[in-house]
Amino acid sequence: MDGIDVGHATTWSIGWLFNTESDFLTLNAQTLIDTWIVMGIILGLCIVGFILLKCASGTAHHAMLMVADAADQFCMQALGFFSPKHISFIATFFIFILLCNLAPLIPGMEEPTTDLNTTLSLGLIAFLYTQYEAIKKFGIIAYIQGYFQPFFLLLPLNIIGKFATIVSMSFRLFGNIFGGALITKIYAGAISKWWLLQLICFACGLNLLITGFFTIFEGALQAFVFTMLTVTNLGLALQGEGH
Amino acid sequence: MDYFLLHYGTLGLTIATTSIGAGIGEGMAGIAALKALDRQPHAYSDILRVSIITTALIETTAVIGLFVAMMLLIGAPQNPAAYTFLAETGIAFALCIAGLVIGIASGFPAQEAVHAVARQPLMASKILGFTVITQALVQTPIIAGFVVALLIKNFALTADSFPEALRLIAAGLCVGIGGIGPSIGLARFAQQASRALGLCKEAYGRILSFSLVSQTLIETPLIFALIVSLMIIFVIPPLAETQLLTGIGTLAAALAAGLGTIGAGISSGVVSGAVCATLATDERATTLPRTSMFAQALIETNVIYAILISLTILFSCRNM
Repeated sequence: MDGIDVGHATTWSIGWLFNTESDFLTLNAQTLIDTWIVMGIILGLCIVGFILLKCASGTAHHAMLMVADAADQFCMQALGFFSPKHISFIATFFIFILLCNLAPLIPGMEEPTTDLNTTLSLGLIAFLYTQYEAIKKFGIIAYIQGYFQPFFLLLPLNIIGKFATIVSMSFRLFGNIFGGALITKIYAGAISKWWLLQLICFACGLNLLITGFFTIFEGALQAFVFTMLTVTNLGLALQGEGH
Repeated sequence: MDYFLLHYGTLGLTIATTSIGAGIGEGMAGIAALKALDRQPHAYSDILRVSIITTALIETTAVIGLFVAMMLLIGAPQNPAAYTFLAETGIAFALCIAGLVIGIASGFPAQEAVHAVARQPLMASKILGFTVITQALVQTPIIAGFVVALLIKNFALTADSFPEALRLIAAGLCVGIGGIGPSIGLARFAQQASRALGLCKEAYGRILSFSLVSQTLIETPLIFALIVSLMIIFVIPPLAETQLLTGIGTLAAALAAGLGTIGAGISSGVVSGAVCATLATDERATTLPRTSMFAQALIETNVIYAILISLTILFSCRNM
């Protein structure tokens, strides 16, 4: 258990650009690099998918269509209506979070979602998108009136309720992924001392079980839940009377 | 004063409470399996299989308790710091409270699972898979407690002041109390979901996706408590002898976060459990899962208040 270092990340400071030193201008290097790698993987997948859709034959083409159809069906069920813009937004969210959560399957990488900054910004993006769509649909006046429903004394509660969704969504994703990463790290540290123990754990499938549950299952589940809640919030904001 | 008493007290309490919980849960599951056999004797092999696997899952708490007790027994520190053994009582707080509750609570879904197999013997393999997934998620609080217990064990070696021991106890207390509500809620939901699966065999697909999302939502309060607990361990620096107020502050933050999760965990489980039965019998209830998720998100808002207070306490008492 000596190899556990939490909260001591490699940081890059960009304060010299503005001649100041501040915690807000410090970047987490590991998160940044891993996020860029994940984005590169997504770009590669997009190019492959595009090429597969162009040459219109075979199983790969049908597989791509099935993936797109599944996304359509999911959003249709959760939103209640069809909208290509929302579907692309939501599918982007799902794919990004899923690949972020599965990142440690590549050696040397960590989940960018173990950094609270990543999940908080994801929550903020989802929240701002929902509010923007609601304002666009109902107009700014009806949107502000929504805060005074059902009567005006509830204004503080409504505002806190709105911001609580950001906190709950981002903390849920962060906590689950961080907890899982911590468990796998402790496990790896515990068995790393004796090679015989490592061999036994590898042979009896304990490694596979731990990775399968805490990285793959938990990661896919949390990506699904985050996306599902975003769609649910979006659907509720667009259906309700102005809020 | 002989602090070894505390060491062996922690060890004994951990193994005793987790085994009592698991024992009661397994007993309940066993009774239900016998009743299910009485109702459907031809499904003997299916009921036996489901019963054995659910019993093995209930036993997770006892196995973890045994592991920690063995770790404390074999890995007793050779040259402990002044307050190592007092800090180790945090391990007992982390595992005992949640372990007892989870052991008893996870007996209920096991009961309903064997009854569901007795009602729908042809669906036995699907019910088994469903039960394994839901029961594994019910055990999440004890896994969180286990992680915190390992960290406390690691940090207790250097605990040389009373406030430092208080800090580690607070970390254990937070995740221990925080596990009560979510584990009752998770077990309650898994019970209702298994019962719903026994009511209608076509409902499998609908209920599976709903329960994965719901269970994640129910255990969110636990995750919040785990975050506070990990923050107490990692963000608060090791305390010196003069920082008694900070030590008490961490205890207060732990109690705020832990107690805040109880109500939300239970009620979130009850709400989504109530949806399951309707979801199974009524095919047209497509908006019901969405409403349930929205209600659960609202319930979670209450936990967020508690967590915000807890984090405020933590950061204001940090440099006291």
